[in-house]
Amino acid sequence: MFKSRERAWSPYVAGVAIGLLVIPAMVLADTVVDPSLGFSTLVNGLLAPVLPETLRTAPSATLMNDSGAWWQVTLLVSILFGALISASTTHSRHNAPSPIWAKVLGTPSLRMRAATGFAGGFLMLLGASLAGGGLMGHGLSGMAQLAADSTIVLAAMVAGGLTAGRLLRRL
Amino acid sequence: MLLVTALTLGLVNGLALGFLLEKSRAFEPGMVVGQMQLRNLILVKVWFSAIATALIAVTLLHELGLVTLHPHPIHMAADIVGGLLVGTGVTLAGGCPAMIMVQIGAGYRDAWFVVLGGVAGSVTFLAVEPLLRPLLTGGPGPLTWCDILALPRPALAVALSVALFACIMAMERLRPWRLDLGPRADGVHHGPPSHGADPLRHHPIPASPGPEPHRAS
Repeated sequence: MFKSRERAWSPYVAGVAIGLLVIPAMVLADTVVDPSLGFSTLVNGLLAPVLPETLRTAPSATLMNDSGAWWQVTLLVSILFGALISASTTHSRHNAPSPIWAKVLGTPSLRMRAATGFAGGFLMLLGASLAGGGLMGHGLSGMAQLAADSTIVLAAMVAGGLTAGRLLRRL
Repeated sequence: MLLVTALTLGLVNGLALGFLLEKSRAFEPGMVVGQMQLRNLILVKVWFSAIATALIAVTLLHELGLVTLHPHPIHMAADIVGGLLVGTGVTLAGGCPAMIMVQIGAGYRDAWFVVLGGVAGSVTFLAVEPLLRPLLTGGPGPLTWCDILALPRPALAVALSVALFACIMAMERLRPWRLDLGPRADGVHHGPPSHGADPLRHHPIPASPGPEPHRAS
């Protein structure tokens, strides 16, 4: 159940370990685990040279100077490599989209998956910027601080998620 | 803190998070969509375990004076609209940004479309932010439940953790986590679809596993 070469760990073991990861972030970096923030910081930073002046100086684009925000960027990118290591050691890397998409979208079309994926990414990052954090920022770090704001965002995220789940084809 | 230190810490923390999310299988689009359709409970089991752990850890560290809390200020309209957008987006994308990174690491190339959408969403926010300013200012400030309920943090933390633990126990009784894995540990069951008023009452045990579900070596 805990072996690094096992494909699936108990959700409870993995969950407890993920919960412990907020500690180094808060104690050593004085920040929270929020990959959505890292994503926006990275995008704003990379696109800064080509963005018009008004966008470059928008309030949320100035997070770049904060070492905490850069911490989020490194976190975001290295998540990919952590997953790559785990998936490679168990030979569970995928080479096609998850079969769930053909089932819930009602078509195996890659275009349809591309369109819903793009729309999902768009709404997710727009919403996270508006709400000041994403699923992990509010749902984990915020709840661990008993923040009222995070509870409100979380309730709205669950409502949005369940509603979107009903729009997809049920299995 | 020095930038180099911040980057190194982020790197180690991210590697661990990516590894653990992959092991938990909660990053699989089949698990995420299944959770949002209440057919699959692995995501909520991982997440409740993580919150309960983080809650106790953060409360202990806070009592010892080792951490500063950073609750966000409450902006009711922005929180509700933003949260609804995130929830909808996570379902359509098949994961939050962290899970999308895990999906790319695990070989799901279609997750790059989500990344493109995320880039567009982030830039769009920069463009519309001036219009949304009224939603992002004012409000009652960064309140916690300890302030609102006038209760000590440790008592609230223990109460919430116990409640989460009770939920986890009930869910595991209702539906053991291995049933939700699917034959390829991706949350997709290939058997006949289960219909019914209460999807949780059905336990679609995979009849004939294709590739072995747990390839422990």
